[in-house]
Amino acid sequence: MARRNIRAGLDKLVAMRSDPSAPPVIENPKLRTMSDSPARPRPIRGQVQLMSADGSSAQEPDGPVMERVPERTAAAGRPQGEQAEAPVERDTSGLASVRLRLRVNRGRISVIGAHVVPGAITVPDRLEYGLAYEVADGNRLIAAGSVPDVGQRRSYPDPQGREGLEGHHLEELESFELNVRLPQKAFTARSLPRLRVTLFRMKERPEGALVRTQSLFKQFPNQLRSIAELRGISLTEMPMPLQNQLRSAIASSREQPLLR
Amino acid sequence: MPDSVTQILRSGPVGAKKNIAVLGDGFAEGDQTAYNNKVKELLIDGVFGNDYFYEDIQAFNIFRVNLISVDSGVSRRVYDEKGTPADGSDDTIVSTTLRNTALGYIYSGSWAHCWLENGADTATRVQDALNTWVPDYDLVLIILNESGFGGCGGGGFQIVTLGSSWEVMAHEFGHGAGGLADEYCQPGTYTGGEPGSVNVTANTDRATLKWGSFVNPATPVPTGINPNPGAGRCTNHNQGTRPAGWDSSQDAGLFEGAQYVTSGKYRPVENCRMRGNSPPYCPVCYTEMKARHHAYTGRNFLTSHAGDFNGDGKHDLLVHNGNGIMIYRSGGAQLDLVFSTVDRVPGSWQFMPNDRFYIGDFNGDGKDEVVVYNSTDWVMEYLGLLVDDGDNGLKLIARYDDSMPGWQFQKGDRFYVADFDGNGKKDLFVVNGADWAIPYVGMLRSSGSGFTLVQRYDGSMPGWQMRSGDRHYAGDFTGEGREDLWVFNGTEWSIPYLGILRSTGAALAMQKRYDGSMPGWQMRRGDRHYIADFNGDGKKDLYVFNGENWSIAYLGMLASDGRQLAMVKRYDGNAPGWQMRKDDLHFVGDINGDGKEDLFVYNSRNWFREYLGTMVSNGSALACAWRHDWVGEWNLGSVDRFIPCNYEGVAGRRNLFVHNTDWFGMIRATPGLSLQKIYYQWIHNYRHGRNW
Repeated sequence: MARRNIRAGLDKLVAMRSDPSAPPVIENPKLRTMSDSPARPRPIRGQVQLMSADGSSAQEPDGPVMERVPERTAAAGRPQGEQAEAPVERDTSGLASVRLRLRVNRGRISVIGAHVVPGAITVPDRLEYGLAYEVADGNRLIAAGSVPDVGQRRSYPDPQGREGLEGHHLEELESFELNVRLPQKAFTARSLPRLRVTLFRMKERPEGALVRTQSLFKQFPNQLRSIAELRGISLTEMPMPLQNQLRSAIASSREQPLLR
Repeated sequence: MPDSVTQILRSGPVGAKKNIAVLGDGFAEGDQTAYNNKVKELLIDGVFGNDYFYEDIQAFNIFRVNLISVDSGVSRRVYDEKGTPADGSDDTIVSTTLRNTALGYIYSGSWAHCWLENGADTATRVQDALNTWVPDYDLVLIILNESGFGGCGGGGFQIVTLGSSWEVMAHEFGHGAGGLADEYCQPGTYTGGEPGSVNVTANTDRATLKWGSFVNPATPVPTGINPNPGAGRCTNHNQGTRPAGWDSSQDAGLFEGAQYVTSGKYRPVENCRMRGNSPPYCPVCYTEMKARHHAYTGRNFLTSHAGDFNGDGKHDLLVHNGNGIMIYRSGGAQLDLVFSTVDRVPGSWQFMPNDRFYIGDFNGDGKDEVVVYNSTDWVMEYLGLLVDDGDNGLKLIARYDDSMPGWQFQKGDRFYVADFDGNGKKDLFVVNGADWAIPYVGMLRSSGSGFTLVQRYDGSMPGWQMRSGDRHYAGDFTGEGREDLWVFNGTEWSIPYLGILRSTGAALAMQKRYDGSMPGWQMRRGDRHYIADFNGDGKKDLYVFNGENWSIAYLGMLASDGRQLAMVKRYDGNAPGWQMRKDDLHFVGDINGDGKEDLFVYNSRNWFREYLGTMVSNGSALACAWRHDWVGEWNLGSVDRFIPCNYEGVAGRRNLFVHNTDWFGMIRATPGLSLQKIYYQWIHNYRHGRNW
């Protein structure tokens, strides 16, 4: 019998043997080996139940049965329109996110919009090259992400390729806007004054997986440079339409019992 | 006509996908059809009909917003460019013609003014429209009803005219979705540090080059050096002889000239989409786009199927994920994407997560078709027949909604592909033992364009009382050219039964029933059956394995003579070269192509390492060989799944697809088990290197 791996403490044999003379592995010594003797019927619910020789069943069905097969069957199946019935299941996670629209101007960030988006958000497992942002409640990181294309306006190249117009005309913007997303459950009236949004410029794309609970700068101090920050959101200082948007995002969260 | 939104690409919940909002400006009510057509032309048929975006279509949703403008066409502004079109600082406005449009954009046709500009409240109107119709947008495309050329990008936005091309838009999406840098050149020299973008570098050291893994060691680095520093154009391969077959967009090296200079910055290939717009993304940019969006595709390799979808004798691969499928064509040694779709195929079949696929040549054309069944994602059950669409894809030609004449579909329906009438077209056995008061078996004959129920058995078949726990297999036991139905029940009677029901073409007749035992084999509930012609006589024989009901594992080879089974060989505990264990898993395939079907065998649970083996039949006995732990670079694991197939196209089945969540492998079995190809997360054949 093959040697057992005692040290590993596993009930696994160490290695298979290829030689034909290798003995069979005893899987369960309490069981018998196969013989030529006829099968011995085992009782089921106290009775020996054997199939009839012709396969016929004397038992009448006591539940729903299929409709009778029509006398003539036709190969129907030409699709009639689309599968119009609504799927039984849609997104039932009960999760939602808040999309904050931010304006960045000379190191200052201001909120210019907020919307609730139903459904869970895909949490990135790495930062992509571009700008990075983090949203924190105090010291607790609640969202992070990358924004690949901000702060610049590019004209399409000239189709005739006129000299000097072959590529993009680039315009660096002093003020630009971007979206950040955070789980709606973290967007509460109580958390708003503590919310901190930090925007980072990347010197290079950080390698390695994103730790979803730790400050981005602590994770990637050599790759990230903070370029703008928003400290707290004060509802009363906002214009009324914006206040309404923010309140709506908060209020919605209360209506979602699945959010905790 | 009020403003509206239509989702024209449905890949999944907005929170799990990248969402593209498309807005139109200057399209009056009567222009909406033209607008819709332009969106389709540019985005669906253009950007998402080609290379990378076609492949990753499942990562994106597209929402087309129809905004009704009062006027047709957008406002226009004329600049006096003072003869310096590249310099906008000295321009003056000659005239402005305002039109009443939904977003208020003004087209100027001036490159230095980004071809177009915002009106007084354009930004607010755009945000209002987005907030109203597509609040979770990631990327925005705005199409102006203006025939002149122009386009302005940045901040995830692209504003284009009717004169723009999809290729330029795909380039722009490289910025907006991929953070990729431009690779085109203008005279100038760069002297700064290492640029952050993945596709531009100032580093000429092969050892530390950030895309070095994609550069063939035989390729000189740098590969192209600007002979006129600071002047000229982007440099192509000029260091040594440019190899024959060099692909200007797919062969990576280090080429001087990138990101608005001709010297000091380098790009990965001669001409990537980020330089020339029209070529596909280079390996570096492609990989960056794939890596960024892989999580949004929601894809893995768990649901994979083999089938010869183009009839070239090589098994291709169909991968199903959520509401999308992809087909990869086998070239004999690698797989290449030929079809990628999400949501639905023409016909229409809408893919859903619980679709079940059955592959077979249902119309006898030498190519495999796909039967797909869904009994759980809709309020009714659907059965569809998908065939070749003539363009490497699939289209639906028959669909049965809830029922077909004589058969009411139910959740527990199970299907078995078998040509039971021997006409060269695969048919279906359908079985339901769970959802009715009595079990049912149906025979669905394929006409090539649909199915017809030719026989239904209610509760019993000739010589067989059906039970819910019956297990079914298909195979031509008699050698008459018709595939028969094999049934086993080891749990619901006092003794196990195996029945072989011969197909007459339109009905079944009991050919042979084994009650409790077969010749040389005592049947037990844990018997596992593998229908295979192991002696190559045209009649399907039986491999039977039991690893759980005896003290040792048994494997029997029972040959069919067309009337009954006879024990040819029984292995008690060991097959030659393979120590059998209780959790051995078997897969049928003609490993050596000799016409005798063999077994692949895998055990990941009963040994300290995983074992993958071959059990090759000579007609009356088996000879075994195995690899353990690794097959080439493939690290065997408990999560691995195997699909016997023939991707090489050599007569007989001799290969395996092996797959798990993130990895996909192609294993050759002859002359020994060896790994032919391995893919991680996505299937792509790089000219050199790979994505891990």
